[in-house]
Amino acid sequence: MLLVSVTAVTAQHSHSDGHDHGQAAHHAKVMESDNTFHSESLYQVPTLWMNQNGEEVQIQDFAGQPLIVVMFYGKCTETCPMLIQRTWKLYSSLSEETQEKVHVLAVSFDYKNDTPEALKKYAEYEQLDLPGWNFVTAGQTDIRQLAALLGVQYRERSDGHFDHSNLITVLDKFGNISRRIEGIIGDLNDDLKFIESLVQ
Amino acid sequence: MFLTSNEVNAQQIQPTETDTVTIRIVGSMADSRFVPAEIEIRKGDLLKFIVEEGVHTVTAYHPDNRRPIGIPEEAESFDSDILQKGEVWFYQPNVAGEYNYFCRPHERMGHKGKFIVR
Amino acid sequence: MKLPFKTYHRLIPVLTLLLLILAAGVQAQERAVTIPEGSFHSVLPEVEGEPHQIDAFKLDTTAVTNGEYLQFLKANPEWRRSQISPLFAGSDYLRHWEEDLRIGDKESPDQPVTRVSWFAANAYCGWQGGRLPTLNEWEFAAQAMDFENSTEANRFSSELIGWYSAVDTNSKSEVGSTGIENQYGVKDLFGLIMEWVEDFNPPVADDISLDCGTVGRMQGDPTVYSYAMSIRYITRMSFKPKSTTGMLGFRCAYDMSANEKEI
Repeated sequence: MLLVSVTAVTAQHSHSDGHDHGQAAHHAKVMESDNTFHSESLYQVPTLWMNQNGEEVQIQDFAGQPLIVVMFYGKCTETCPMLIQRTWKLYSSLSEETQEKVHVLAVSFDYKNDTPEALKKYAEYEQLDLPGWNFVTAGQTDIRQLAALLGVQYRERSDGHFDHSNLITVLDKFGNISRRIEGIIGDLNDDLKFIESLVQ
Repeated sequence: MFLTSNEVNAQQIQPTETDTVTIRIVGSMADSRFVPAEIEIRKGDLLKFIVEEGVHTVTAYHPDNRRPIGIPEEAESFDSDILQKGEVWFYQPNVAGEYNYFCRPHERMGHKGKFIVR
Repeated sequence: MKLPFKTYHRLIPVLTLLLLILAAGVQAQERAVTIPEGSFHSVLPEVEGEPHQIDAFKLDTTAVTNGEYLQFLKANPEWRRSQISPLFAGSDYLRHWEEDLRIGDKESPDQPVTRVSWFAANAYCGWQGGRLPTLNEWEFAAQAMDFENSTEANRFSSELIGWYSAVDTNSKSEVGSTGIENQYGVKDLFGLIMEWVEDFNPPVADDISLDCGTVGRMQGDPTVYSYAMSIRYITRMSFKPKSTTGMLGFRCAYDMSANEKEI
């Protein structure tokens, strides 16, 4: 009886992930470099992120280049250090030419503590305060929205820490999610080749 | 596992076999630690790290690992990457001096170690 | 003491104005109430057997209505049905409304707005200077019911389970209509619609599959009440952020301001 009840409730949910192309036509945005409208491009996320240098950054600023996106937070132990290390491994293993074309957007869950100043200290300690790397913060609802778009699950705990899934996302030159690298273990060679292919 | 310099001078120096020195990695989260956290070994000894609990790394303080250098300049940097429970990792130092290393997941909680190679 | 007529003549508009201001203030206050800090036992605890601590926060007394959502759309064209990005909602978004800015005859302005995705709910609450309540905040408010005894609590929960299994999306009522109110004045947390929360699919959900065994495993304390809670958890975990359904709406939460926290 339990199972029937639960199924009945879930069956009521008529999800629709279908795209109404009539809606898409209303969008004025046309991505540069080609004339296709990228309806799922994250360039549509209007959030103004603030980076470790106090500069405002939007995802659409990176139009025309692949972008590596990772969500973490400064006080994190256990997994975030490995996640950032993995992001670094990925980035630093790209050819020098590709490194110049690829940026990194590291977004903190911790809207309270990871201020631009705290992010600067973090970036400096980790020796990642590099030209292509942006450690950013924004409001709580902005961070939630990005996590929902990327498929990153997280929950704030009562001790101020965050339980979260581990994910590195690669956006292509048009802002579409084109690669999801989950977890903190595993070979990155195929992912490297993929990113190199994005800059061709 | 090691001889003090006085004991060495007192004895005739015999050719010795190299030893395998075990450092256990225990605990998880805040109580993670290397046991022993500090140790002296001889050049040529083989260090064997074994993870008894949790998930850890053995990572040199070195620019290759995005940290200020904490090992002798001519020594090779090292980073075990993720080690899980039951895994074993070896390192054989060839340069004398002090080596400072850390565990990446738990660095902020003070999970660090040191070995001195004579 | 009798006052000259001239004084009354001036007093009346002033008093009327004061009354209107007072009424508006009372109304504004009633949109959200303070839920004081406390703790509760969740079916998905952070630490087994330990209750969740919740800081004080404010919560809307009712779900966001069609009328209120309309104001949001007037101010934010990018969230209107004809303009919303496919990134943020599927094609069922507000399909029951007549037009972008017209609710139409099928629904009243006082019914809770539904067929809004998580992204839309999140944006609305941000626009209002708040946010969606977290799962724990919502559940904490939900269990703050004033039951006389556990018999009453169990009877209530049984009715609830009946509601969860037979929700009819075509017979949605107006906010406040269930008559169910928690001890702080928060209405219709049951019996009207399911509601979005900030973290509807927390990381722990990965290990849990939607089946009876899960429900059994989730319940720490095997009462009918915690069983109803388990159903809500499982239902929420089946959502995706773009989901829009006829029985899913939301209400907003607000952080306490600095001086309020000091009280």
